[in-house]
Amino acid sequence: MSVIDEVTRELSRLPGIGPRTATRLVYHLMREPGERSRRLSAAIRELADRIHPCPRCGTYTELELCRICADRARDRTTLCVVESAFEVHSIEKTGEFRGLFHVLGGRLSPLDGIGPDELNVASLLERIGEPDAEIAEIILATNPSVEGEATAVYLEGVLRPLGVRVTRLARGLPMGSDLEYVDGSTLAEALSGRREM
Amino acid sequence: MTLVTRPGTLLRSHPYSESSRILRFLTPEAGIVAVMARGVRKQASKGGGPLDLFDDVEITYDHRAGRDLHTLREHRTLKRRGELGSNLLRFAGASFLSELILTHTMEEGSPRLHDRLTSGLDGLLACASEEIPGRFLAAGWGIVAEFGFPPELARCVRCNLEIPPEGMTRFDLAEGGLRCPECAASGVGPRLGPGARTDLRAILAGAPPSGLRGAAEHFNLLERFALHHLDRRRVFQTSATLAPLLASEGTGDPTPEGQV
Repeated sequence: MSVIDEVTRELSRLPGIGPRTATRLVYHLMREPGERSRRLSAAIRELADRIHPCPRCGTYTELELCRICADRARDRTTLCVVESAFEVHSIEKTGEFRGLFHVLGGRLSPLDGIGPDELNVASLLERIGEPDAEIAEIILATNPSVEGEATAVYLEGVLRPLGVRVTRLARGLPMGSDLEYVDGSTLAEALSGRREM
Repeated sequence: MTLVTRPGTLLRSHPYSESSRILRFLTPEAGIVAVMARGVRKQASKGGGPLDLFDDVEITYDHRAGRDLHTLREHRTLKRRGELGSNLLRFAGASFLSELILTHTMEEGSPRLHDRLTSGLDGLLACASEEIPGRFLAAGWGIVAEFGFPPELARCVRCNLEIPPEGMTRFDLAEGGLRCPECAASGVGPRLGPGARTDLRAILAGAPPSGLRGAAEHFNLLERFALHHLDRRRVFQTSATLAPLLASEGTGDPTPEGQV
């Protein structure tokens, strides 16, 4: 396989990039000065080598702790539980939330063989149970789909006995959608209108 | 290419590329229909209408003869079943029914099969929590029967004698039903006592007992029977979630291993 074919194949595996777009990108890179491709290549290599999940919250970071967990100015009494690291980015963009995050790494999906044991629930319970933990409220920000709802209901069942306040993002987000694509103002409204479970 | 509109129930949803999904519906007239729903993740978030698992949806798609995957043009939700997510056992039971249907390759549609699924899902939605195991087991056995494998519980599958009310029988998976106490002595398969047989008959009649005893064992029997007759090469993904839930439900007295 030629280098062109190999790069095209690798690019076309990325979300939103089909074979035609991948080919166009490869020809664009070939027209550019070689230094630009080398910088891109080095940056991707750095991404693979240096980025890892934050040991506390599960979002991606190149530091020992992610910038949110390390920021002492954040509200440590509120923890927002999301399905994936991308949703941390979506919620951060709203500027409405100043607490901490916890990434589940998925949602309950029996059809995919994903049950409670496949999610980062044990680490969530550990965080709440730490001697210096200040968490008073947990916001369940799973997607407003049947799978996201089942995940939230399951988490409520394991969190409620720990004596923390458990809230859920407000209804109003369309069911069956993905949090990743909700616009910022809708997400900000949902955060401010969260409800008791 | 023809534009087709038909109702269906969403069984499976896979993310595809950045914002699309591949959706698999059970339709009454055409069996399983798979469509590519381009941009649907963005659409739903912008109010394009929900498209969630277990919902009844009217879909309009470009049908391409000879293709397995068609292109969704429009959808209209007919009935939401989002409340199935309000209880993990309800949700896992509904997921099992979806997987059960997807396990079997169907050449054509079956309105009766679609009815079995939707009435099973509606039964799960409406029932009290202690009735959930019996409800999804009843729906599951009904679906397997609709596929052409109704289990024989009245007569021995080996000697054809009527199954007596008393005594320990065995469920012969290969022969598709009960072995009488005499034939059970030389047979294999899960053992069924008189109480379990009564419960199984009630489940198959669509009137499962509330607080079903040995629900985990009943599920294991259905699972083994379905896989034996539908696809022996695979396992049910949903079993990993469902079986521990049923075991922890404590819905009945413990039964010996391999016995329902």
